[in-house]
Amino acid sequence: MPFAGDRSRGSGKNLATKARKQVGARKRSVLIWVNAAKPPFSEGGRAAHLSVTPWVDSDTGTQDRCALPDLPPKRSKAPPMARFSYPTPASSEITPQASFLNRRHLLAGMGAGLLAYATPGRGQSLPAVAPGPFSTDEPLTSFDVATGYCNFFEFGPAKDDPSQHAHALQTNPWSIEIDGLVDNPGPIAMEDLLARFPLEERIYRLRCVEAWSMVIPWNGFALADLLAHVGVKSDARYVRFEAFDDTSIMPRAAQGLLDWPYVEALRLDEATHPLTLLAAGMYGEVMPNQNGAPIRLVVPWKYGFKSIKSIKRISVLAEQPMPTWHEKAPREYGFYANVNPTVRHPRWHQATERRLHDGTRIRTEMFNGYGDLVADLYAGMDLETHY
Amino acid sequence: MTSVIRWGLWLACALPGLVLVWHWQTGQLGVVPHEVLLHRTGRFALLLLMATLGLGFVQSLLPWRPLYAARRPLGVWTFLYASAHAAVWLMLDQGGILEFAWAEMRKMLHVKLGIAGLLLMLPLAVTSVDIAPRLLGFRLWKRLHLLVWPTALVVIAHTWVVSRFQNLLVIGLTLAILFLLASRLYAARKNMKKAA
Repeated sequence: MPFAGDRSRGSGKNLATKARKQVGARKRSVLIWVNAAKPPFSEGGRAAHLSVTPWVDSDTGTQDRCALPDLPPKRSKAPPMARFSYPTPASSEITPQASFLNRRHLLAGMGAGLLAYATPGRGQSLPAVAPGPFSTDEPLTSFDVATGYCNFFEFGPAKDDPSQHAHALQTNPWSIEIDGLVDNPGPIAMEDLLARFPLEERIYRLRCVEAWSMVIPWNGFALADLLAHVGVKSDARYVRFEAFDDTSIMPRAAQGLLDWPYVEALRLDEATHPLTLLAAGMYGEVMPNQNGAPIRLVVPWKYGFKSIKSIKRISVLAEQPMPTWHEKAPREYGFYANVNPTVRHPRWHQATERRLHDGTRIRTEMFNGYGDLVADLYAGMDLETHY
Repeated sequence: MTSVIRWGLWLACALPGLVLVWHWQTGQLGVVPHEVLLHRTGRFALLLLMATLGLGFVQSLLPWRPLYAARRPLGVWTFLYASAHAAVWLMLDQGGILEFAWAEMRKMLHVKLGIAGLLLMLPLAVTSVDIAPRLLGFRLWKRLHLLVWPTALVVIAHTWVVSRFQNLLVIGLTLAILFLLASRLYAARKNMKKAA
């Protein structure tokens, strides 16, 4: 449902009414959510109050924090980026516990120059993110390019479709369902994830299968930490990821580009590799919708399509799952999809790539330059066959 | 009338290119302008090629002399946009690095098709000056310009290869080209019968 991000489009009066209706609807859902708030894991009560507080107004005791202010009768045209703004305050941002934890990281990391990206951005900035390992020192792709040139087919095939349509994605509340061969299955709320796993900054190269690349500072935590937390059973071999699936906000879904929901998968040893990240932000900001809000996978040595966006379900399995692109065109998109300049895509070759921020074309590195960290995972495998 | 059509068409064909350059230079082509340049120049060339072929069909129904004057500017501008498309590919997409461009030319079907299309158009563009039909003889000149048909087939194949999805525009253009080709062949057959 379009929310606050939408309010400035069109004439004032109708929208004000519409917005009030939406607030009503919102309140109800909040109430349900608050009443049902039993955090799936709340060890020592750490996360317990996080889920309850966000929208309770401390003065009136009502849950009106998310109410939209009355709109002025007429508003001038929205600033172009209004569409990217978050519909409601993301609870992850107003969560006291998270900011409390993150403030400590901020103090701890002050001297480490972690405010390098504290330029005024477009979304909501994350409280603070400590620098993590494996970061490259290559020049960053600009925020505009990284958020304006996206493949997120749920919102359409053109590169600017996601930035135009993804504002419809409602990311709050959000939880990831964890099932399969794990000790503690069940949903985990975004707030709990953020409270439990502190975000790190990892500056990774991103190589798309379409032969373009970016350098992006992700803010996330190792997927391995989450898998360790839920406990992976010994017969598990693969991890399957499923994206959100809400055809009502997927303008191009009806065109049947792909089968929804989008599915990706990793071998367990790939999923638990320290490079593999679950990112909840980039450039020190809450993940923009078009880049896979609120949480996405980042696997820097594989082609970008493996890094599934807006994850709703993570399943730990014994059998190899069928990822969406692999199913659609197995000859073009392999299960592994490791960046490999020597194995060409049937329609284009992978030897070079365009760095989008400066327009140069450079040679593509094996495993996107992460070979010394990940090549062992594929020892003895013929990467021509297992592309 | 003829010269009004001719010059009007020159301007009309030049305009999208000028607007494109303007947008490029003023940063209005989005976050990755090179790609937009590549796609738009290619699209203009394709649409102009379609217009050139379509005009032939219209002429066969409506043999109005000034229409004939419109064909050359359309053809010449098709070639100019196609050349710009190739130049953008070489200089911006491939970064002007000949080694990379050569590797793509050797391996990539869509690049081979694109270059084939451009090479097929080259003799047509060269012989589009006023004296060419007289130098070559009108019959030979006319035969030479039948090359526009293989060009169209190669170009539409190129479009199919580079399209990520078979969208309606590509399907429509393919059907249109096949229809125009069929109608041309039918007319040629009828003429041959008449001659015989």
